[in-house]
Amino acid sequence: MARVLTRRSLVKGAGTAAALSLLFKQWIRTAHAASPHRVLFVYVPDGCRPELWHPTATGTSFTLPDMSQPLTPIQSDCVFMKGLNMYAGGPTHEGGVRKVLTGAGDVSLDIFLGQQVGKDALHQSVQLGVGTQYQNGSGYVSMVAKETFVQPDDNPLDAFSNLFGDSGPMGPSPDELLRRKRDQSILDTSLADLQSLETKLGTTEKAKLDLHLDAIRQVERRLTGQGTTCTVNFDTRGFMVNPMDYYPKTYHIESNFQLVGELQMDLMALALSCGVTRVGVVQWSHPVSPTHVPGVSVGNHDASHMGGPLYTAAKQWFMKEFVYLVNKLKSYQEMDGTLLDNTVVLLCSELGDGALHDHVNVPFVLAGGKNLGLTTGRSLDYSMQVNGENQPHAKLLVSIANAMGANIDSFGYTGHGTGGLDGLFA
Amino acid sequence: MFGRSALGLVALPLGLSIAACGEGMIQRDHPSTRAQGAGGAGSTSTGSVGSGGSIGPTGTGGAPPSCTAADPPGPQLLRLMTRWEYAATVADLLGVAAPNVEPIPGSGSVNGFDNDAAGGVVTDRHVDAYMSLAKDLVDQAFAANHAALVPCSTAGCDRQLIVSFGRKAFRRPLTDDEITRYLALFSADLTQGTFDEGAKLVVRSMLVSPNFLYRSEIGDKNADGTFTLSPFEIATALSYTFWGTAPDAALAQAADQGKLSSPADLETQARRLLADPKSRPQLAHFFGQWLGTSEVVNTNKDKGTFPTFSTDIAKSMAAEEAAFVEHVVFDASGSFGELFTAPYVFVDQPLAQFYGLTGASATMGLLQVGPDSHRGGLLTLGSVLASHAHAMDSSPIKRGVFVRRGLLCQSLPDPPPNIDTTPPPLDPTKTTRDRFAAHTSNAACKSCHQYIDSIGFGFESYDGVGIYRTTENGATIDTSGSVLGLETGSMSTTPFQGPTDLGGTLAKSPTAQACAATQYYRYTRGFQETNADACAVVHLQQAFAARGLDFKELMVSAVLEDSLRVRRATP
Repeated sequence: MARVLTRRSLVKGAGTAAALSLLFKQWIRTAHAASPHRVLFVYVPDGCRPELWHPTATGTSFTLPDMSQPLTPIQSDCVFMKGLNMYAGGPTHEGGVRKVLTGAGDVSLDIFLGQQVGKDALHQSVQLGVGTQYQNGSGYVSMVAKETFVQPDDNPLDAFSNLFGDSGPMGPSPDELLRRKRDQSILDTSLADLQSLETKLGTTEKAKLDLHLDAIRQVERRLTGQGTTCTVNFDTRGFMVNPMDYYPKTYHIESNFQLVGELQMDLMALALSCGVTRVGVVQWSHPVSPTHVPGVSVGNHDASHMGGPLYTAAKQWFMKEFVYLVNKLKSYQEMDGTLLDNTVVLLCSELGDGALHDHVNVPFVLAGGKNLGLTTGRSLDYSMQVNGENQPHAKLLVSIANAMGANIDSFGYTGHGTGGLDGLFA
Repeated sequence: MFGRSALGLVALPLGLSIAACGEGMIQRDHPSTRAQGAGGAGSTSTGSVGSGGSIGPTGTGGAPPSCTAADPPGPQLLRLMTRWEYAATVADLLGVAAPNVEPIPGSGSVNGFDNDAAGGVVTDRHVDAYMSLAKDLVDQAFAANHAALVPCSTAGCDRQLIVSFGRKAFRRPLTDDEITRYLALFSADLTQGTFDEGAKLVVRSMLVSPNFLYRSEIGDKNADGTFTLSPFEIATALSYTFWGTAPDAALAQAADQGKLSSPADLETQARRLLADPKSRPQLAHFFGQWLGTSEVVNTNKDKGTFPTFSTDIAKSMAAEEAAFVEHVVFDASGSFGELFTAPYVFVDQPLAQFYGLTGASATMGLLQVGPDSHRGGLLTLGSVLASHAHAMDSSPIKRGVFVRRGLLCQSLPDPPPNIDTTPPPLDPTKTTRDRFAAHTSNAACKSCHQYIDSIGFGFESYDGVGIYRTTENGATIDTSGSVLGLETGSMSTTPFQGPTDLGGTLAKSPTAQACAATQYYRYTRGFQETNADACAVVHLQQAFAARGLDFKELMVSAVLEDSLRVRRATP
């Protein structure tokens, strides 16, 4: 059943028979001798009820309450953290989403780590979304500069071709090589144009062109990247984008939410496994999410205010999908463990209590990361450790950055001290 | 670049750092309070004087005395095309239908405007999208309009194509270096001997070049260290301001002939562009961003609470708003007042039925309405009412904040981080007004919400999707509202009964009139005003007032101001 689709036929192939499996080989940069360390941020919308989310007990023996209960099968792969607040940086959903990965600074940790430690990968960082651009008035977790969001790619087929290119299983064809050469000439021309433009400008606008320059170089590296091959099996499960779906787009239709989500997680695992990137984001929907998740009769945001069984059911649904992701990462064997062992995953949201719109006791969970020094299977409590107040989540971001090899001692907010969180990574 | 400042979310203009509102502490976020000279603060005695009480008598012209020595207000800028601008520009250039620009990541907006230059940065996802869009569009255009794109076939055609298409794509003549650079794309290893392959490569390259993607407002250096925009840059600014796309042949020709430096030349072109139908959707685009309604089609409403609301109704609302503002500005008086007090609406049959209006035609058209209709003017547009509301109920807070920030240009701080900002839960026994009463009974909340809620309460006769109502949960709705501190320097209370009444008040309010000019300034300039802009903004406000508060005149004035042409060096 394996069938090779080029990017064009993939995107525009609506109406062709559904391909069950795609086999791609992708030229990428040579893998290092030891598996590289990777990081993945997973956002789910609209907070939680902290008392129904965080385990009461700390240590290694604890029971998960209703909302996080579906994580029980992977409890030993996770670290549960309570007592983390997101300080400063604006209130409610909109403030929360801007700071959850920025620590209330300008740039989010995925972008920062992509630039700091992910430079050699084909993509410094990869942002994939599940309905993030459907009725979104609140923002995205990934930020490239002050007030400048990076919108995730919501279309898994589009994302697939961006990440894995057009090569067939036999490597690039002569046509493909010519196509790359032409693309290369376009990028070279752009670079030359940029460089002559830069000479005319002061520093503010130069900084903008530097970002642009960096962007072109990244795209260029993807064209010229060479090294070992990686076999990519991506099962699209028959998903196709119907070009007639103007609003909502096929990948924004609610009945496709789970399928698109799982395709995006599959793709992310592939991208991390193949070394296409070392830094990923999967954003599920967005703050004030209108989406009805399967089996829940009201939209996610409405559920968050109604509370009760509806809210719990919505949260549980997302947690089951998180289990899917963790198991997926676990299924890739690498030379020194699994992909999960080499990837630290942060599960996050933009609020603590979804009904109160606060940033107190926000639901953060780490998963995997064994080879980055994370001991999992623990429940930790960071409440009231700084002059009687909760620890800031900015320290969690510092800990993750440090584990990824970025030597920083603050990221964003420093009002409750600098450094990482104690007792998290070895 | 990786500053780790803990700044608040919303950049408060002019470096305001107020942490609380309190009596008399509300801030104007247009700079007139700083710029004013001796005269006229808060004066209403001069009637149509219009700029937040900061300027002198109508029609005096010239800047207030304290402004005379000011440096040029605006910095040199590179303005990345917004998705809206990109779509229109490539469609015009290539003669194809406007493409789906969804693959281009959107930029953030500042004070509602997505063309703010600070947010326009290019990431690798942008480059991927520009590359792939350019390829698809150029293939499409070469198949459909080959003769128009490649008007030659003899030797030298390569250069001719580069010079002519480049002039349009870069919105200026190419330098010799650039011509040489693009000629290299015709090398045989790239074209494989096919001229069209080289031609396509040139066009594709130009469509991803920074010279195409950014509107240049860099200028040429003057002896005093300031910069004056070139005629090409001015032509581009005019065209994007009024049309949202690249200059047409006539405007390009005016730039080539240097006929864009005198105010008279500029005015001729500005009026020509405004007379063209292309200026209509662009005006509506501005209003959508100003009024915070541009996403109304995507608004999320609870189907159970609002069963008659649908995506089709939302689309009609968007069309209503566009038709209304285009009509007032281009077909009717153009006056600021008519925007708020027009005794007519634009509806199609489904929207009329949704609103409960009779006598509408099937398609979108003007319908005269009386006071009993409870419609007329910007404040009763469905798009405005539905956009500034929640999914399951109205929102006095959102509507109050919209009036303060959007229509009065007064900045409000966000709630402090340690405050519980939970809205009161829905309660089937209370009106929304009763539910929100705590804000103004709790002292900590009241310090700010006294400026917000009492405005929003006056909108309560319209539910979360903009349908008129007289009762809520069985109780009669109290439609009285008030504005505390409407005019600069005043702490008096201005009462009103419902949005149409408030519209009448805003129509005559110098602060609201000045704010319209401030918003148009933000939109045309592509940056948020700072102290350096104080005079330029006041100057535009004065021009608006002096020209009878005619919106079209405001648009013309905005591009005639020196502040558009002359820039200071970027830091």
